[in-house]
Amino acid sequence: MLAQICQFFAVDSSNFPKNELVFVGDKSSDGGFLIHYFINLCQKQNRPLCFVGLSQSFNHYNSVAQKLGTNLLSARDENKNLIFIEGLKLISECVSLHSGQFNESNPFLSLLKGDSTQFVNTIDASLANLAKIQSPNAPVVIVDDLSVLLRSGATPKDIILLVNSLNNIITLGPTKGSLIIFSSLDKDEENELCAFLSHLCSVKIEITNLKSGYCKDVHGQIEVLWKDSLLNPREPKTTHSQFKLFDKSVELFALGMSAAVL
Amino acid sequence: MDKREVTSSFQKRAKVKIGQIPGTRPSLYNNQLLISTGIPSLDNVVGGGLAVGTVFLVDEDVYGSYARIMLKYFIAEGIMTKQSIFLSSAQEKTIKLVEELPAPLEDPTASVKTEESPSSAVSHNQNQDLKPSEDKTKKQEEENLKIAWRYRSKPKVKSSIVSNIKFGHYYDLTKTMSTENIAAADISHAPSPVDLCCTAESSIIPHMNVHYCRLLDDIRSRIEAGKFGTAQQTDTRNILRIGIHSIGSPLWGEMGGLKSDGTPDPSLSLFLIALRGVLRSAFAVAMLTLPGHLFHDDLMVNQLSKLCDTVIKLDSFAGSDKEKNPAFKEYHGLLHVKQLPRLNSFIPAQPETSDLAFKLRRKKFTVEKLHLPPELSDTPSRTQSAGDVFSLSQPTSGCGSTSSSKLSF
Repeated sequence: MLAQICQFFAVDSSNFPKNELVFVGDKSSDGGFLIHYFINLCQKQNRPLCFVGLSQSFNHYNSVAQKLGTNLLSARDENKNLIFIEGLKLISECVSLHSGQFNESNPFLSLLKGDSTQFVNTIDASLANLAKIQSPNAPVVIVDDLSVLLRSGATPKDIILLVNSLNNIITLGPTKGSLIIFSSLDKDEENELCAFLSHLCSVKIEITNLKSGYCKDVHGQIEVLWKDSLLNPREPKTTHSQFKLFDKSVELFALGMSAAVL
Repeated sequence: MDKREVTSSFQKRAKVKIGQIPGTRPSLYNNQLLISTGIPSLDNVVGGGLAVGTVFLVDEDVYGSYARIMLKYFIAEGIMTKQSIFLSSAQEKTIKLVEELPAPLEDPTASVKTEESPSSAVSHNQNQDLKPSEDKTKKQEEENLKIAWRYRSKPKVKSSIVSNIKFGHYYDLTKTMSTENIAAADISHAPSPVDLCCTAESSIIPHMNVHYCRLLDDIRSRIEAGKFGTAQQTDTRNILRIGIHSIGSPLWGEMGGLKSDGTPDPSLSLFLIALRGVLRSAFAVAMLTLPGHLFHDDLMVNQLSKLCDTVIKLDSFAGSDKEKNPAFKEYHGLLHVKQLPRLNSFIPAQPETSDLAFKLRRKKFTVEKLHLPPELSDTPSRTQSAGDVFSLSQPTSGCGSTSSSKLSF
């Protein structure tokens, strides 16, 4: 799977997210495979990774990663090159009538109240921890999925501020890292957050359902927009493909070239 | 998802053998631990059953009656498999829901046998079980095919979806479950939000609906007290079934997804995110029914669906013009599978067709295929034996022979 997607992206699999801000907008619900692709890519390159899991628990990512041939558990506990922030658990701790003792250190509580500084500090501290392992590669921060914050009541304004601060400390700062933001958006939901992210990012990946409806053999369409930026000067270009998902792999093919119709 | 503890997974698996938990079975597809919804044909549609640690959302039909029956099946299945149950409703006393539970059918295997057509290609085991007399009638049936003998070897089309493995019970809606069964079951009732009208308490997050917060606190303490958490050690591991009736109805203090000033209210979606977070580390499954038509726009319901794992929508014909449509005369409504969970895999279980309908009989609630999809895949499900169309390898016996292929003249 790794090779196929890298080939489609036309990137070198040994140093792909190189100081980029990647925005993955998933308008269908099948785009999750890209998250696993990026995790796998970072693990294969032995790159320090900070993962903010807002939509699933660690076990889910770990079991998919095991199917793809990497072990996140040992990466987290032994190699220390993965920091996993259990966002789903932390958010669920916020919904209660009793304020427990854990609430003071919960970055999501202040975020849902409209203050993102504590969350940014958490990421900053994680990056500092990752810097300790002295990896030759720059760190990567993945957020899956940003729209969970929007659903749980954070205003688009706060999220925009958050993304801006994260971008400042990760890609623009001295760490020269990469930030990958995954966001599942509804078809009718072209909101300001989406517009802002599309503008800010250096690579925009958009995943959509087929316009003609559900098909067993073509699960969706993927569009990648490479933007010219100061950090990564290049010719802007767009590439399209359609994909079919399997249990642990993905098949990419040109538009209308599915084996089912040929 | 979290059937194993993160830090001490090895010891845990040795201690709790998966098959020992009553009423569960591992999924063949992704190795998740599954429980039955109480409706065997629905189990097959949603990928074998409901995975432990997930949220099952039923978007109610307009009158909410079929969704309520499904909830009763879900609870009854919990009682039959001796699982623990946690109930909450704003609509009615949850005791009443328990009193109305359907009685299990005495001999469920009998109905399964009649349901399954013996000539289906998949039921090899079934064929061996057949009594000789049944076998004879089957043979006669086949010999009687005088006209369309070409289809003799074809499997019969089964509209109802049944698997061979016995999982889940059948219930008789005309009778109620015996009081001994109910008394023996471990059922806990959450206080109704209507009774608790005092709003002295407030949630940690400003503007969050207090009733949802209290419900989640109740669920948390139930999981804690019953030792259903994955981190908790216990000798008798069991499953907690959480049934929540009509969440998001106005009685919960919900106003169609809006706050009193008309801005969107994130309370319900935050509750669902938090519920998922709680269940992921517990041996529990939640079934929620949601009156989706009471929300001010469909977008809101779609967003809520994405925060759950398995989502189906019931579309009853009652009161609509489809009621008199002859195409639907056998059925009571349509069943839309809106979402299936992606667990430990890129893709969810792929149902053969998404065009499903349900019908309610006295003794059975069944989900059936309404139409088959057009055969357009690169992996044909229709088996085509070589002898059917092209039998070039066989020696042809000249003109007019019935056994020769189309290509030989």
